Amino acid sequence: MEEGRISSSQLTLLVISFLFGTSLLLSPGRGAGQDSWLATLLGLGEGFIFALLNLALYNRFSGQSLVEINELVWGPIIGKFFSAAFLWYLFHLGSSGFAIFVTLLKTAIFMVTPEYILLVTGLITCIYTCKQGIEVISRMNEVLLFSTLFLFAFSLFLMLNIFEPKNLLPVLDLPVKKLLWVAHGTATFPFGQIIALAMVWPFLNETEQYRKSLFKGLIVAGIILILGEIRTGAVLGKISGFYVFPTYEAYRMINIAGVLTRLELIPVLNFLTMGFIKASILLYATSLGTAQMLKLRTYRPLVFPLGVLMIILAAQNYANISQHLEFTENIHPLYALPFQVILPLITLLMALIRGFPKQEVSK
Amino acid sequence: MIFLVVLGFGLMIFLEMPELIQKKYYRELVVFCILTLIGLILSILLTLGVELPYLDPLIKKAITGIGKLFY
Repeated sequence: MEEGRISSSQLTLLVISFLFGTSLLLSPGRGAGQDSWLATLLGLGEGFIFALLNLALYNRFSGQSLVEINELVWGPIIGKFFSAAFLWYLFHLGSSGFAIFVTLLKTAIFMVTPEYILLVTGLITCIYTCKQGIEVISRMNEVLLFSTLFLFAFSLFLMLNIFEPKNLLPVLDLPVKKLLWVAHGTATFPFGQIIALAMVWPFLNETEQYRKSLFKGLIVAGIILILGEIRTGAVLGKISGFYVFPTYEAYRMINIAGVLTRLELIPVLNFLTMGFIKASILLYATSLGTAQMLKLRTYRPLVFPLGVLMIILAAQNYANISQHLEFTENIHPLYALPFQVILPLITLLMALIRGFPKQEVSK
Repeated sequence: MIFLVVLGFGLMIFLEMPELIQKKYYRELVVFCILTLIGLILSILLTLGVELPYLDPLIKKAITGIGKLFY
């Protein structure tokens, strides 16, 4: 079905870009004010637990995607139900990514362009990339990720003159309950979402390396996201919570001697490249998973109709951006739990009860 | 507008279908047709200005409903 193979370093880079995806712009720890970096750090810890749990399942079935594991453990009928739930999550996640994409472009740059024009142009590139397979996605990702990292590092230096460390004080100025809730929110968005890459792990050429690449990717992406939160918090101070896209506003404040100003296109560029990779991976994973679930011989014809359905859902997800933010902050931490933790956990328990794997493939 | 939507779908079907028929991938063809049909109907409804329900309130209702079971 998929002949391409990726190396372990490519998987690491894919994990990093996938986690950057929408979170470089829509900062995950937004609800915690100046403590957002702390919330992200705690969320990274929780994300590690999620990843360990999913790896415990994957270790038993090396070389198979989550959809195939479900089928093997639960049998054809219940397995299909589990796979459908998982694929729905990926599909919905992709459509949310497109929704943020269109909201940003409509509020910041293309004010009067109809949203379907923006969605369709974004979709055509994603469809084309997905049809080429995982190898092309990961190779393109190498180039795009390095340009993103360069722009990120560059912007850190540009913001040094407006960086106010005292904006980050006082630390822990909010109830512990609230902090933990926001931390849990960052664990589900973005760190827990790497479960989507469970469709990509099987295509690694060195099958034993996936654990290492996953953790490397998690750590690097976590550190960079925390740096970004510290930067945004220190530049904007307490008002950062009022903005929809605090990062975007922080870049707006850049002013180097009146020459280098209005650089807010940098985060948009970062978001376009990384969001494109994230959307491509999700569209790819959904099509591949659907093809595996329905026992098709190729996933390629499914990319176009699923992509169209994805952008239709993107327009029908939320009536406005405040609903979207409320969903991300209050609903998504609960909504994502079954897909990220509970379904893999009961699949793992069932696999243990039924004594899988039958043939010994463990390390 | 509807013309553009149908044209877009027609182009995609024209690009995808011959290969599937040639290779005799009939199972794939059926899945492709069903998904494309759903997409086509939904896009035509949207271009006609029919207001489809938003998804977010439904998920919210489902989550609060499940939450009430535990409290």
